[in-house]
Amino acid sequence: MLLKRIGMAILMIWMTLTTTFFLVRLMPGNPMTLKLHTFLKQGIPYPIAVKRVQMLFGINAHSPMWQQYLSYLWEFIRGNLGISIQYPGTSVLSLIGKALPWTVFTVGVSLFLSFAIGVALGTIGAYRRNGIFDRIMSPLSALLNGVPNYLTGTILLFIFAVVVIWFPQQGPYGTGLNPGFNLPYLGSVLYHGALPIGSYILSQFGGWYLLMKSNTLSTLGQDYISGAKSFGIPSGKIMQSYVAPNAILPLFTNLVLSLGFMFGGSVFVETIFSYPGIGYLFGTATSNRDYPLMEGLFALITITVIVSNLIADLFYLKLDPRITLEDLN
Amino acid sequence: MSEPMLSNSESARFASPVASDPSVLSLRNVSKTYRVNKSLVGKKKFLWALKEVSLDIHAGEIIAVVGESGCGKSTLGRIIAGAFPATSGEILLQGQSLAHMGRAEFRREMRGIQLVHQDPYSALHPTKTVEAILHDPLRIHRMVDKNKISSRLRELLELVGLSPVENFLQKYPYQLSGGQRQRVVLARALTVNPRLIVADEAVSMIDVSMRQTILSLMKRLQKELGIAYVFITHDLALARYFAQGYRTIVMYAGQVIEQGPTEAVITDPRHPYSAILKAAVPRANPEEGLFTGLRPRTTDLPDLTNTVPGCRFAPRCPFVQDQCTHRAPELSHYANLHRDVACHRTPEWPAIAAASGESHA
Amino acid sequence: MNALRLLWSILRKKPSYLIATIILVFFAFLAIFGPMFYPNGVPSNPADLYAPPSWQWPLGTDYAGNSTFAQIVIGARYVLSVAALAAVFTMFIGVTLGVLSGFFGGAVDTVIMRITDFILTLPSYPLLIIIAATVPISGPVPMALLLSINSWGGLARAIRSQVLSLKKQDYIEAARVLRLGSGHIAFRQIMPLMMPYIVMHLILAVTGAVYGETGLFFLGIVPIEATNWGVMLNYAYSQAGAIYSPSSVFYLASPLAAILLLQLSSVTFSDALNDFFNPQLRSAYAD
Repeated sequence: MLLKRIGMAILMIWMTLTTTFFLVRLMPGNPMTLKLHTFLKQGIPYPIAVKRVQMLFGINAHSPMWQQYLSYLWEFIRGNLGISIQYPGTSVLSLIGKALPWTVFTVGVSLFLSFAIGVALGTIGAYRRNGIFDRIMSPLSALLNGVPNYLTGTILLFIFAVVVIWFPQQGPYGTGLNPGFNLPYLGSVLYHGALPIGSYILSQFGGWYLLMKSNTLSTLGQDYISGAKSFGIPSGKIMQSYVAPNAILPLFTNLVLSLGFMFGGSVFVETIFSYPGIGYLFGTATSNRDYPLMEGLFALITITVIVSNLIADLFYLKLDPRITLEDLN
Repeated sequence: MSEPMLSNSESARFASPVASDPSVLSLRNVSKTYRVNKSLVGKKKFLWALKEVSLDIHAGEIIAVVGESGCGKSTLGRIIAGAFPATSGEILLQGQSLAHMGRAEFRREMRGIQLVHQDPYSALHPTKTVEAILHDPLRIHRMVDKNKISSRLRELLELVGLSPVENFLQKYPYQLSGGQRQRVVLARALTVNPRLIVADEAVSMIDVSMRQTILSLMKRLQKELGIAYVFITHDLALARYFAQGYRTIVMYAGQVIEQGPTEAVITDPRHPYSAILKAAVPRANPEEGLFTGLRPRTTDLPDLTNTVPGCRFAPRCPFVQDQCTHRAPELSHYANLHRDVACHRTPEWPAIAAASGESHA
Repeated sequence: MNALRLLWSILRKKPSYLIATIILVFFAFLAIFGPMFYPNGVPSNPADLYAPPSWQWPLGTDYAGNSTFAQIVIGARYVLSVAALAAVFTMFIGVTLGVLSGFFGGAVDTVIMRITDFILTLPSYPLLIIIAATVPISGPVPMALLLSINSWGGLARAIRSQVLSLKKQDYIEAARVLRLGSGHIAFRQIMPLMMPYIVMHLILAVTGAVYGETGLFFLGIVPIEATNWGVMLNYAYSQAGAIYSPSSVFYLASPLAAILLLQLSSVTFSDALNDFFNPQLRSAYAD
């Protein structure tokens, strides 16, 4: 069953690669033909132009489609995602490698913080349901929970970096700093990361609040909670060892899942704050029609989602003794 | 309650004797199994919800099926009604095998067998009116001409005793009582002129005071329209009342363990399980004690997997012998008793029963 | 009409429901009639850049002196018509696939669910972006189709699980035994029971599509073809660094406010619909 699960994940990855490949190749305005024509217009002789296109995409544009497809897959497995068009001579893999830490940092921190905030507030909201706190938080969460982060990002940027200039407008860290494990650099990283992280949190914690609140409420309604109360177990103890574990447990799956989706959502936040993570890279790759880079990033983001799916399943299995892999199917 | 006469076409259809038909429906060694462990490791395990049941249902006949919950009586009823297919065995409609029917023929023939559910509250579509509920089958199967649909559905509502019809046509199920709903359910079944109705605990969720009228309505439909019934119930008294003069089948753990004339099977059971069922009926006179003496040895659920040899009732049977745990008894015919019983000890039953204090009065 | 009266009594009992409904009706009004108020296009005065709100410019002007208010009013049509179309496409695909999958089961179910899993796995914005970058998108219909490409997955799953539970109901079994036919049972018996759910999701799908399209315009990935709120955001961000000047606050805030207002009232209105469709809550209003 575990093997089947992993097999499904691999199948998904293969489907992703296939989709991106054919999407980009078969659509009108095929990037390789476009590039070839650009070269030809620049007066480059045909054979050399073909060679160059082949170098750029890692694929021979004149071989049959299935051959291109197979060599694309083969190159992908070997870790060769082609060479960027907008940064000539730089491999897609190394570009991604440079951008990834920034996204992992901001996305990771905001995921953790929004989860913690949502769970904490959600518990309070459930215990004081219909109180003034919940009456404000529930509609607010419902509003914030679907709001895309490009709106929260724009608002935060405008308020905190334009109207009152408390935070920097862009970049991952201040100029003239020496990247490394030193205090001024780390401080600057945090300072620059604050607004992007804030944007994610603002558009995320509402969802956690609502989920945690409803989970806690349904847990509180269970018979074993009334049972525990009737035994005279103190309510703090009940909260800690009866309610919280059962209410939080189902959230962990969502937690792992949203990691993958936040990678996808990073396009907007990182573009707004010119934050050099993979989302920003994806944005610039799109504006410059840098197809190898777009394909590579899309594959990476999707694989992240697929892998986090897999981890979420296994995680759940580990955490909840009642669930077997069969139930997940 | 007005009891309208049948229209000519109907009496003609039902009056014609079905002498050429061997039976409305026949089951030959029909089984229903479910796979229980789906894991890749370990042996495949099957749960036998129904094991090799054979049965002939004749036109206009009533067959009561009794047994505890989980004995397979509802599964049997659903297979008869074609709600889901059997895993193995052969099903014959009017002597013709279902396996050899085309789709259209199957659809046409199978609608002659209808199902009445236990819970009238969930058997009717919640957002459709009574009129719409009856209209759909009449229209889809073109049971009558388009312009006669409305008069036909009125006729049916009157037939099941929902009159004046105007008070019911536009009602939604939630506006009706349990008894009224069960009448609508019967009317809906009648839209397709069924030969056989499977009634699965059809009155057990209706208020006791209303049961009698529903049961007599069903009986009247049998007499006037020649509809056969498979009457599934856990209540021996109901079975005895409804299938009087016809047959009763006792099921245990997916198998038929005793079948024969209703009166004989219920008052003079020959299988230990049937006898325990009879003994479990509370007695009217409290001074005799609530129940007679016969009890099962254990109340454990029967093992429905095919892994244990021997009689499936053996673990519970108060009269169990060595052979019972090694060899499963066949359902055999006893001409002197006018019935079939599946028990090794049937020939010595009078002695056993006497020894256990079970009187035969 | 009984239903209308019930809806009215629900809206009247909670002011938030009523306000949400009024806002939605107002937006619908803008979408239908908005452009008619400005037959000559967006009024502008190139000498009056980033003007603050006034009688002449109710929401100020943008970087080129165009009226912000007029752009919001005119832009509503494109934004909402694309969103409504996309929501309808989403519903159509999601409901059809969900019903087919849940009702027929077996191989149909397996294939549809595998595709759904796959669609749900693809990160939505990157997918939209990569398609928008490859396929030339112009006009509301292709835009709506693009937005509905991967928005139906969750709906299809939810519909499937509803169908699976409805399929077990006795009245559906009765319909099968009556041999009423799969088409009738799936679409005339099961589907009407899911209408409340479908209607509520239609409204939420509209907001989802609004987010999607404004996001694409905001990133500047789809060609700009009409005045709309997403284009306004894009200009506010990209044109001459408008976002970096506090004086552009009204130009920036107007489309944001319009989008958020639409979202808030949609969520609230779908709550009202929930009360409307839920028989237990319904009785609380019926007096």
